[in-house]
Amino acid sequence: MSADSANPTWIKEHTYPPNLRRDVDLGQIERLASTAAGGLLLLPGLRNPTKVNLLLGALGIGLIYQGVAGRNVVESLRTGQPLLAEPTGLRIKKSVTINRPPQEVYAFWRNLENLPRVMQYVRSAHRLGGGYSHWVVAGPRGTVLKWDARITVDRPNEMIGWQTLPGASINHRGYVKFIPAPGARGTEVHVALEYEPPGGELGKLIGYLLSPFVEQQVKAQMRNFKYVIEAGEIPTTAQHSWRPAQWAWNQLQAHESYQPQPNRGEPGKQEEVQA
Amino acid sequence: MKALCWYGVGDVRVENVPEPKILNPRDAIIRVTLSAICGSDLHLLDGYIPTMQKGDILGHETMGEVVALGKEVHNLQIGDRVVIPFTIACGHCYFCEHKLYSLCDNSNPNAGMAETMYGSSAAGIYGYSHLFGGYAGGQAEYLRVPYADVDAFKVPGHLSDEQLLFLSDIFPTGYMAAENCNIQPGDVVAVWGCGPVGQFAIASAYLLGAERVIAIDRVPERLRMAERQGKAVALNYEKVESVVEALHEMTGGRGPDACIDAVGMEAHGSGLDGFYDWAKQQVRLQTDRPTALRMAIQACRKGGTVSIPGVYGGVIDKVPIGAAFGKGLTLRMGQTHVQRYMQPLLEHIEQGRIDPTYIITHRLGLQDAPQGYKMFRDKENECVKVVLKPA
Repeated sequence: MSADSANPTWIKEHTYPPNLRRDVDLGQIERLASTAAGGLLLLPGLRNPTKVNLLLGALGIGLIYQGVAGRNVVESLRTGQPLLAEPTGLRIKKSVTINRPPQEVYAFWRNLENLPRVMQYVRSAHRLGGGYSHWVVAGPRGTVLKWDARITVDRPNEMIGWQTLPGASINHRGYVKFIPAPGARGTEVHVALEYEPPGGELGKLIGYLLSPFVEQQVKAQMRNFKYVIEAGEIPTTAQHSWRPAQWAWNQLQAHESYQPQPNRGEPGKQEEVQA
Repeated sequence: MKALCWYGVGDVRVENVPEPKILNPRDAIIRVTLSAICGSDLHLLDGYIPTMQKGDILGHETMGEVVALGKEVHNLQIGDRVVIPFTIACGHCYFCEHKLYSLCDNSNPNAGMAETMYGSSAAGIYGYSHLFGGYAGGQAEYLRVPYADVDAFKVPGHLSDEQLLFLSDIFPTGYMAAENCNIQPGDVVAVWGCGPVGQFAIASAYLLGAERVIAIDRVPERLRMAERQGKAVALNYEKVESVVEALHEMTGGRGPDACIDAVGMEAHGSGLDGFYDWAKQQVRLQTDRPTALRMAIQACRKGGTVSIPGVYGGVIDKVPIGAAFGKGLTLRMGQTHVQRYMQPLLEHIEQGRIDPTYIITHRLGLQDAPQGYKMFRDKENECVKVVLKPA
């Protein structure tokens, strides 16, 4: 096993994702109001970019930022705090409990080729040996994202950590921990991700604004992971009714790319970790 | 095939739709031989359950014959006669393993939506909005049954469809409501609402050893059914000044040991309170009208149990939590864990301890389902329960 088993210190254990952060200055109502007011100020500038409207637009962006980040912009500027409080990238932490022993859950994940079955956007994952793997992922609007990744931590039945290699479409690193849940409730699966949205500071701001959606996606993929391990299949209501509603067809498409495996609960043999 | 589709508030139609297909390895397709309209379907008809979409096929009380099987269903055969529990359950998650089937982790494809609304997602339900999965329902000629190895209950040939159909929902629902009351010898149980679930709650309370059951409603034929078939004491809430006082007088001042709210979110209030709740619901300041629940809490004896099989979906207002706290009440509620009750209740039917067919008042063809909905909603023609037979 060539992967080092050092504890990854680069993701702090108790770092909250942006929308769960405790260090916000503003309350929920203030944040909503700030975001809404910012949106209103931004609109004229987009329609008719005169100097005044652009100035108002800039103010609007500030207000939107303030609303989303929950931080008082004026205060941040005055005290010299960085506007984006996440200097190293965006972080997401999500967890789900799976009613199976850690060995089984770990083995399913460690067999990386299983992951396209449960992660909607992952088109393929291949192990290249030596702890390296190649990933092809569907990006927004028909784009294809690719990266090579290296397993940085591999503690059987406990934890897998990874990091992308230079040249990745999206630089990221993450870990998944498998912790026995109390009272025979199965395995708590904790995923943490840290990623750098491409496109410099602007990309970071956009990424920051989009992070709640990314979080929802991560949660959805983890749910699929649970569905397949526990129930052997992903529930679907494709063709739920007769009308050709777009979303129903989308679901059907998604379904066709998913190949159910016959052996419920033990997908992928408990093969030796070939890191 | 023909199916009953939802088009909007007060608008359901029978349409021609494509037949369902096997989509997952644990699926089955059944040819529906009998289905029913549930009181909770009326909440859909009246538009009180959000996330319905035009064209959704309704119906969650269904039975039929297996006509197709996915490759991972090994305990069923083509031609098997089955009753389908309305709660879709995977059989393998923590909740299913603890027989809490209606809380299944894995059967709602729209779990994210439910998590946003309720904190966690419970089981998917046939034909009951996209919040509960967006599954096609059984008021149709064919139905796709996911996790059929767990969610299709084989039934014996010597009992009729009508005797067996209600194992899919309302008999277990009434039974669980009574079971939640933790009935002890000598207990008096009051049941609000003498619709189908109320009728089965009354019968089940006696099966579980209640001394006396008091049935509360205002519809004469329903009170009559509760009295004659259910052996309950009828109480017409429009004929008394105060239901709570009447119940106290009927129980020597103690109050009923357990109270069952088999009404739910669309209770009929009266007087100023009733108008207040109706108005708030119309402008969505509250989504549910808890008239029956308020009375149940107020009437229940100290240390008693309030059991809620009636459906609530959103937010309620002016619930006397002080009374519940002050009297040390236990509140129990939730969708029915149908799979848990099918076998024991089948035995009650087989032993002749109950014949569930007594609640059926109308037998219609599937094509007449829209009239059935309106008749059931408006309680016309003494309608209590409508069953639908595909042509």
